Amino acid sequence: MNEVDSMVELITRTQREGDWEALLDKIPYAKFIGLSAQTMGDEIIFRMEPLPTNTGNPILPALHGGVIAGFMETAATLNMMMRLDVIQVPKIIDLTVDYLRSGNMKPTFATCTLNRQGRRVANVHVVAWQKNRETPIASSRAHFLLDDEE
Amino acid sequence: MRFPKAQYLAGMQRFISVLPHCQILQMSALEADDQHVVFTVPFAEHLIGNARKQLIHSGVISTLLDTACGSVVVCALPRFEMCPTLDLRIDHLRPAVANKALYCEARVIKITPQIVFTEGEVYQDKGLPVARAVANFMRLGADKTPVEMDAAVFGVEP
Repeated sequence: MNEVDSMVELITRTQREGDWEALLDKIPYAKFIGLSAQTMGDEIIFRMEPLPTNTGNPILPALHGGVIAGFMETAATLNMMMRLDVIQVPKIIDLTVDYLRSGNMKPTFATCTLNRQGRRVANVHVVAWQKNRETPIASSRAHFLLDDEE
Repeated sequence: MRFPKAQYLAGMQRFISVLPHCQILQMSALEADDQHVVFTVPFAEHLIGNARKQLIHSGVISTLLDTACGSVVVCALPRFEMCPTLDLRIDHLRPAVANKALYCEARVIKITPQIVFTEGEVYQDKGLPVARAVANFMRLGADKTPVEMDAAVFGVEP
């Protein structure tokens, strides 16, 4: 089985069985920031562990804003792979992160909304929270390129 | 400028060396003054986002931009102030490839009493930008930051 086929297989398996581990194993950066995911019915909830290495401000202490951005972006990408049957990692065009509250050193969650899926471009909204969804720590919007020819 | 350039650079090196996520990325400062900074992150296997194409994850680029833009704010203000990121807007212009370091140059665009506007550019080869960003920071005010912080970062007497 070549690499593309195995990736398709992994994505299909995650879509079918909600088994995220094998897929996330293929993304070193996801492991590096302590990202996991759980499919709950139609929704996917992404989670990032408060790894000491994710700290940006050691005095507060607080999560690094860049890690929060990386987490939301990874969540958006994975969410798209599940929703669109995109067999590759979709290419990010741009990302805007609004930082709403400082991220405490505790688990962070994220959910994504696919606002629009065009033929070539998709628009995804991501919200990240710790306490509850009504008090998000960051909100984000990203565009992805879908027809990523080799 | 408040200090000679070497003091800004030493200050930036000190500043990022206490940020745990920057340490794990082995981030370091190459240039710094009161208008701009240049930071770098060496390549490492765990930074890969797309294993098949051997590309660096864009999250690393976001972190480098956020850190460099946030740090140039520290350099540009009359004294150290805590400045949380309000927003970060990134355009990904070309993929960042494995086995090559990332560089980020950040500049201050405008300082107001409440807000600092910055922009940054990430590249692996000079003149071929990987990403461009605009980042705005909120000033919490000098009175919200202990004077010792300024001394600790820039090595000046409080």
